[in-house]
Parts: sequence; C-alpha cells; structure tokens
Amino acid sequence: MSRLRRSALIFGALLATLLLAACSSQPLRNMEPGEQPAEDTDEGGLWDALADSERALQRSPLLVRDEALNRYVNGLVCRYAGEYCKDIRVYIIRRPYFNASMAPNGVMQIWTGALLRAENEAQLGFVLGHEIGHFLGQHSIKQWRRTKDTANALSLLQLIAAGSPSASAGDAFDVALFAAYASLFKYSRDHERESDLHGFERSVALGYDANQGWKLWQALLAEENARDRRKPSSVFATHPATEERLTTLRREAEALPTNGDGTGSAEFSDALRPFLTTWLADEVQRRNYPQTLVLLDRLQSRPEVPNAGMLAYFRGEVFRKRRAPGDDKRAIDAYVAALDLPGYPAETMRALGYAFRRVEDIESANEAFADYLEARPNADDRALIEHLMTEPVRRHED
Amino acid sequence: MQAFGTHAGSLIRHRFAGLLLALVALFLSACSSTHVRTDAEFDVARDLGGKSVVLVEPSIQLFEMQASGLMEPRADWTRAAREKLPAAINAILDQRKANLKPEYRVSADLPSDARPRQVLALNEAVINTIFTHSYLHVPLPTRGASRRKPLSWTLGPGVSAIREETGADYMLTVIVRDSYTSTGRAALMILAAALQIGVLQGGQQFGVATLVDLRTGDVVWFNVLSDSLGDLRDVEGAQATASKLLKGLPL
Repeated sequence: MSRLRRSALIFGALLATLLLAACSSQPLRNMEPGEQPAEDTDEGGLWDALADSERALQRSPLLVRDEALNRYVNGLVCRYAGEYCKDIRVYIIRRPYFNASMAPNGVMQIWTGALLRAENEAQLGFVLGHEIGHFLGQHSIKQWRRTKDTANALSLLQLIAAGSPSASAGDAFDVALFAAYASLFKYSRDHERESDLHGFERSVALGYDANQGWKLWQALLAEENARDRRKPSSVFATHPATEERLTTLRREAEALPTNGDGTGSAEFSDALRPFLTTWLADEVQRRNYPQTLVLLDRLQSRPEVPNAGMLAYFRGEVFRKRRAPGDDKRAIDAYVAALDLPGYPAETMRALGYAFRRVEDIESANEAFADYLEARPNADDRALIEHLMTEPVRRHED
Repeated sequence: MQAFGTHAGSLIRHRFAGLLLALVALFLSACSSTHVRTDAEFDVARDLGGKSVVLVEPSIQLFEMQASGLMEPRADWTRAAREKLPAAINAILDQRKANLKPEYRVSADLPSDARPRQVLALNEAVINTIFTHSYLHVPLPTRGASRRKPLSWTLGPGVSAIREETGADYMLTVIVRDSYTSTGRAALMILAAALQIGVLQGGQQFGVATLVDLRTGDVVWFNVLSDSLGDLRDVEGAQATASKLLKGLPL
C-alpha cells in the first residue's frame, strides 16, 4: 500500500466517524401550532419544494372536490388534530387503493379506496389519527435525515472499500449496504407503529370504540389474504405486517379499563353514500377480483349500504370481467339476483345482456337489452345496443 | 439515491492512467454548454423588434448536493434565485428593446380545465417531448430519429388564451434546476480523486428556455443550458446564467 493510499484511508475513516457522529446531533423543532420551519434549514427546503407538488395536487383531475364530503373529512381531521387543525390540509384523491399519506408541510392525502373501506367514523378517524401521528412525530424529516446520513456514510465506506487493496473490502461494503438499507426500512416501520398508537390514543380520548382500529386491520388482512399471490414480510418493508399491527392494537384496546362504544355519527354515512357507486366501479377496475369479492361481502353488512342491488350488480361485474371458468354463469346469477333487490343500477340489465350473449342465449340477451333501453330511453349507447340486438354472437365476445 | 460501482477501484490499474482519466472527466464535467434550436423560418421571418414578450411561470429550484449525491432542496437559495434570475432575464430583454410584459402566473382559483392552465400544461408536455426527442435523441414513432431537422412543434392557436391574458406576442418559459456541492461532497470528490477511483460529479446547473409565438402557438426557439460553474445565488451569477439561457434569442 502506498503512503498516499494509507493516509487517504485514515482520512476517510476519520471523516466517516465525523459524518456518523453528525447523525444524531440535529434536534427536531418544537413544532408549535401554526409554526413553520426556518427557511435556511433542511426542513425549510423540503417545505418549499413540497409547495410545488401541493399546487399540482390542487389541479389534479383525481382530486375529489365535493364540498360536503370535504367538509366532513376536514371536520374529523380537526377533531383528531386539535390545535394543529389549521396546520393540516386534506386532499381526497380518487384512487381505489387503501392508502393515506402525510407530508411534513401538512399536506394529508386520503385515497377514496380508504374511504370505501372504513366501516364507520371511528375507523376513518383511526386512519386520520395515524397520519396526524406522522405529522406530529415529524417522521418525514426524521426519515430524510436518517436517509441522508446513511447515504453519506455509505458513499464514504464505498470509496474506502474501492480504494482498499483487500479483496474482501468490496464484500464487506455489500454487507454494510444491506444492513444500512434494512435499518432504514426498520426506522420507517417503527414510525408506522408509533403512528398506529397515536391514532389509537386519539380515538380513545375522543370517546370512540377502541376496538375499531384493529377491526379495520382485520378487514384489510382478510383482503390481503385473498390476493392471488402471497407477499412475504421482509426486512425491506416500509410498513409492519398487518397481522402485527392488528395484534398490537387489539392488545392495547383490551388493556383499557373502560372503553367508549361509539362508532361515530351518522354524518359519516351521509357524507360517503353519494360516492359508493363510483368508488365501487373504480374498485372493480383494479382487477384484483378476489380482494374485491371480499370487500363486497363486507360492505353487505354495512348499514349505510342499504341498496343490496348495487352490491349484487358489482359482484356480477367482477365475474363478467374476470372470466374464469364458470364466471359467465356466476355473472348472470348475480345480475338476476340484483334485479330482485332494491337499488340496482340500470346498467345491470345491459350487463346481463352482455353476459347472456357470452353463453349464446340471444333471446334472453335481447330481452335484457330491451329492459335496459326502456329504463334508460335516452342512454348514450342506445344506437350501439340496438345494433347489437340485430347481431349474431361472435366467438370471442366481450 | 446515487450509486456508483462498488469495485470501481479495480477497474483503473495504472496510477497515471487513472489520473489522466480523472482530469479528462473533470474537464468534461466542468464545461458550460448551451444548445439552441430554432424553427425553420426563424432567421428569415422572426423579427422580434417591437414585439412584446411575457415570462410565464418560471420554475426555479436550487439544491445542495449531499456527500452521497442526494439532492436536498434549499429554500433560501431558491427564493434568492427566484428573484434574481427573472430580474436578470428582464434586464436583458429590456436592453434589447423588447416590449416586456409583467411576469404571468395563472391565478390559483382558476379550475384545472381552464384554458390558460391547459395551455401551460401542454407547453410543459411539449418542452419535455422536444427535450427527450431532440436532445436526448429518443426517436419518436411519428418523427423517427430525424432530430437534426429544425424545430417543428406547435401548441396550436389555443395559445391565444395566454395572449388574451397578457397582451404579449411571445411567451418565454424558463425552467432551472441548480445544485451546489456541499462541503461533504467536496471532501468526497477530493478523496475519490486522491484514491484515483474516479471523478464524482459535483453540483450542476441545468436549464431549459423556450419561446412560443402566441398567435400560431409555434415553438420558435429552444435552448438547453448545462453548466457546472453557474451560480444563481448572487446577482452576477444570475446575470451570467440569464445571458447563457437567452443565447440566440432573436432580440
């Protein structure tokens, strides 16, 4: 080893020590309500850059702008956030997945897939409380700093490894890299655990049934388990396994001496009901049919979903789109069942027509199409349906 | 996160070969370049004398490059640049006797389907396409690989929405992303050079400026700037960057 190399390595090792020591020294701000980070800090930089993406969010075609729904969700966020209410801006995003997110500048996103899956106000509140937990815990900036420090230390280690004459230095670096990434993901999972507990504690403080949090996870676990492929838990998971979160929350709820029994106001149902048909149609478009079937079963038992006909229609849609063996027949059965139930949409008859064509029952198909056109005399697709009624069935009918 | 090869050291065996390579790379990365493209009629038909120009929603963001290469946004630098660069651009346009309109921003309460918003969104999409096709040389199914031809892009006559809002004949768009080497990065760069492992990239200035005719919607001038020495945090730096950004502008 040359002298230059040796001294560089020593220099590098010293620098690494310095960098790693700097990791823990940066304090978090007190975060009083209404307070913003100073402009010349890393957090100030993140806020400034996030302002642009917030403007993009405000223009997004996916933003749900309905006034009543926004008023309701905002009100619930305020109840959970207390004096930090004004620091949080809620954006409802039309995406059919269970998700919500929190940016360090107070931008909270809640996806319609989460609204569809929360059974009551207490469950929705738990999700919102979880996100507020991220905000108050300053998790984003903590994660950013940890990522930054880890990446810096890794870069240095990488140089040292590359400069080292030892053949095993590269391997040692690979191990360090793996460990560093795993530790970053664990850091993220710890934040999720912390936020779960925050959502739980706020729910309890607000007098909601403490069991609603784990019941929501239980429902989500049932959906997770229904998927085609199982996803193993990993050291690279950003979130803890659903099962673990369920168990922790259940234990916490059962340890409470007393428990509120409120699942929340009827406002929840009033605010969400007008959107259920749209969100269910979006849900079917995910093409994750086993999960959608589990969700439809669960929705059947919800009081604010009185129109069983609509659920039966979407069940038919799942089968008609999935086209597994036997699904043509299942689709017809579901649509026929829907027509006997309250609240089925007129599209049920059109879909039934298509389903009958698949099994080459032209007569029943045309009957269903005629019913559809009678129910919707001004349907956009009237000409198309009328034409279809004169057409023989093709081999690969859609 | 930026990653570079794990075993780079073993690739460069000879001490001087490594140093030479490092120097060459240093020169390459330290240079400043601008690449201007114009539409076909540009030289004969474009005379901007007495015409009015409006600067539209300049997008400027400054970062500090961390030792690892991660980019951390810096609000204080960005704010300074958002004041200084437009001011420097306006000063140049003024000097060249352009009739300058006040900077235009779409008002926040306009719905997302409002015409001015849609035109600016289209402008952004066209800028991205021109850059990808004409500068990164990604062929387009509709244009093949004929990237050497003059610009022939248009936003269409719908741009009149911006003309009605601003009263300008031409719209100037400026996008700048600028990063600066942090102390940690500088130390790492020196270390990498000392160990003859390679040259690590430091902070870099990157900018795009375009001019659109607000009557036809045609993109008449397009410039891409890449510079490893530019600095937008002070007045002189902003002036230097502005004049590079506006190079070849027909004024």
